[in-house]
Amino acid sequence: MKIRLIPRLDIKGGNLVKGINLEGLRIIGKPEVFSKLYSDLGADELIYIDSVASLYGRKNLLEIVKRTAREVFIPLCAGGGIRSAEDANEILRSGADKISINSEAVRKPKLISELSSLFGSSTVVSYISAKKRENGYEVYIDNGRERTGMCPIEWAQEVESLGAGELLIESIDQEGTGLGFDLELGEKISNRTNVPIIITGGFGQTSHIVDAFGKNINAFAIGSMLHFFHMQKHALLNERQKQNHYQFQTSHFENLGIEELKQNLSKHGVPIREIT
Amino acid sequence: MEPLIIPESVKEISTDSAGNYGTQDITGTESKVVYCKKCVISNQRPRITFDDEGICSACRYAEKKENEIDWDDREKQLIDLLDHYRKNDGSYDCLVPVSGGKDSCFVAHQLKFKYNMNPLLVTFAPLRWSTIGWQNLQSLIDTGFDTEICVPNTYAYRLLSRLSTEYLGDPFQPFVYGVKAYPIRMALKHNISLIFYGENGEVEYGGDMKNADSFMHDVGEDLRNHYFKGMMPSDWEKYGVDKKLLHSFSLPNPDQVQDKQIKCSWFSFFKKWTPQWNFYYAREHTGFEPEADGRSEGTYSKYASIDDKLDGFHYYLGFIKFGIGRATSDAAHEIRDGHISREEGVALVKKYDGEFPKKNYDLFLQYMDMTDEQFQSIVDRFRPSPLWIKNNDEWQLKTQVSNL
Amino acid sequence: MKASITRDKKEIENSDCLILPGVGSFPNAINSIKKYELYEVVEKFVASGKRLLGICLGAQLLLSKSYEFSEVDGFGFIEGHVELIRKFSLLNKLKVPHIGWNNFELKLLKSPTSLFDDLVHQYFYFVHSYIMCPRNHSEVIGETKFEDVKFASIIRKENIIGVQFHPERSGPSGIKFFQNLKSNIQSEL
Repeated sequence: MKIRLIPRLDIKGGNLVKGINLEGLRIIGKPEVFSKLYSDLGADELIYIDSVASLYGRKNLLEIVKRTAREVFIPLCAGGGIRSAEDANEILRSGADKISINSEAVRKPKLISELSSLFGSSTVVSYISAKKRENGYEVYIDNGRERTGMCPIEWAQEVESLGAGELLIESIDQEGTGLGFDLELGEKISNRTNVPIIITGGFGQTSHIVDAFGKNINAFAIGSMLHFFHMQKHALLNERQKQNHYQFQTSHFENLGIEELKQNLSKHGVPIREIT
Repeated sequence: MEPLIIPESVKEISTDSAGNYGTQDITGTESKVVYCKKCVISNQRPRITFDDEGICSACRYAEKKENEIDWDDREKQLIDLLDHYRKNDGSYDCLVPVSGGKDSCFVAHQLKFKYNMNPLLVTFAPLRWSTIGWQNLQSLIDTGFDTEICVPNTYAYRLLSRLSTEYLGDPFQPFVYGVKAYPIRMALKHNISLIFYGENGEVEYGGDMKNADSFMHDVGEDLRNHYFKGMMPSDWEKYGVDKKLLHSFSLPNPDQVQDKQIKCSWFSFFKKWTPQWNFYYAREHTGFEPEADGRSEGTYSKYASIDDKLDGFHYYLGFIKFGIGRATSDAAHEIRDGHISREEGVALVKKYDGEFPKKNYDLFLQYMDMTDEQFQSIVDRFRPSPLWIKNNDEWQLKTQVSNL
Repeated sequence: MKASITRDKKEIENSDCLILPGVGSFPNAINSIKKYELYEVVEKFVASGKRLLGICLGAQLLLSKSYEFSEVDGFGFIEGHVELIRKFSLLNKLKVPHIGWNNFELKLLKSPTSLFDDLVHQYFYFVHSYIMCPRNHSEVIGETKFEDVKFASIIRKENIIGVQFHPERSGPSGIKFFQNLKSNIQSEL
């Protein structure tokens, strides 16, 4: 089965943003512009996460999903502040193919079963954010701001039994650093569940995915590195960003766009869908 | 923790006589509460001004930072300044007061590694160091800095912070004394003529704009004129606090400082000060980490001001006195820096501002040797009636920030 | 060529091609179709000889019955049933749903069509837990391999075609598929 490469776009108030450890968010540009680019260059799917939707509504997210669906013809998963079937329905009707739920699923696990029976399991992605603590991992919600006391492996098993069709597993510690995925977390969860798993958080080098091959992980969601590369390559920096005295790129990022990454992976024998 | 013994003489201070030293800044005083149209700060913040368009001085200054200031030129000025002070004989050529927080990490690291200065770092201990606070300071020092740390004796610290809580509504007063005084004492001791602060808080966050266009400031002047909520450390002596206890907090003689020509400058004059950028920089270069437990109480942020377990109470009392909590302060500057919209700021303030810091409440009460009732009555004593109203037995702010 | 999303009987009757999409569950889908009184409309459309394309769940509905949640009857245009993919795997743990990009082996000899011109080696997006099991092998014109399971990804009987993948979500390959479909329909008019 081909490994899927999924650009992950964090959205806030109509903008694509990115941070480190889910903290501090820099505005990078317009999501639809990046999505179209990624789709044309060979991305397998797209994920949109709206980090303020739970604060004050998802009007912006719906607009962005609509605009994206008009021009992009690869699968799109969208999430952020989904609290009910109506919320999920709105996002699907706007053009998303899958929805992801995180914080509300922890507060109301029944929501997962409700959504999967209404829309199908394969439409429901359970997004789990975890941080390494002294004795194992812990699930955090609300954009990494609140602890839950739950173990992500047990939680992953529970959401699967409730009907989630896919898991999106994020390492808060690795997120945005470019220092590599938390493969241990991904593998542990993959071995104890029977639905496809996407891992995210920390990608910076081709080797990070090559190392993951064979660990039963089906897809990788990548943010920072891709956005920063394409932002510079395709002159997507706006005036304000250009003026800043501080460089965006961290030293841990291999300078790669999505095409180059796929080519590298192919060379390393990783089964990947190539664009002809 | 041991009970806190309060000297008999101090117990005689009534709130009235403490008030005689100037109640300036003690509570919100403006009769009408107005919120900035661009950010979420209100006119209750001491010394802040609003213009005719209803925009606060900090936002106007932010506009200037964005549109008017020539940062390349400022960079040149910085290099000139540093060239003048740089010593290549192995001795310290500048002093950087640090907490281990993101801002001080940024300043220290830049001065040493980008501009080749030889800074001495100086830290005054918080009331109760948090694990992450100490860890971040350690990580900074690990990067390669000589550091002087002052930890005042706990009894003195407890006594003074208890007294300042009771009489001035802020546990932080002794900490503020120390943070101001210790770097100057160290500059004198080590023969350093240049102290580099991070940001000019008055100018960046809304306050006295008098130093907006200057990058150099005479420390002697500062010492002569600086009153902390109307009370100098030595004033506590008059109320019977033993002089010995005030030593770590005392300001040096202004004349000594004058002779040595000690100057202080702000890094924010030369660099477009953006706290979120400082976080990224510190994360990358000095191993700075945000709080693992998640956000701080009273705000959404995980990385701003996390070194003191008890700082939540300073912010909480600030919320009581001015209607301005931690979330408001964090959101206000993020709006000015263009990282969040006002709409998001308003939503964050509504969600988190004024949240009671219960995580370390027991520790706080022990530290202050107070009961919950005593603390609550202090809180109520500092609650200014223009700002608050009681609704069904619960206190509420009469006016809150809202969308335009 | 105009495309529209509709429940209107007249509009359906008058179209040149009908597409049955589908995401969700088999029982819910059939119930919805019956609820909107479209069951006979679809049957009539098929009987008229005009082209019907089923996508994913829409393709599964074309079969006789499904075992998703409970035993439910489909349209039955193509004999066969719908079953959980995991039943066919000998692997310890097949990760289900089958999600991702995959291709197919075309068997067009007995059933030639230009729908897949230039798409022989291309990848399409699949997302499903159930697969189609047509009774007659001649009605399977495309097969896909997922781990150790080989299943029917394209089925066809006369004017009816069912594809398990989502051409509308398959990037440039999908767009080419629809272009082929359009040419196909236009040439028949």
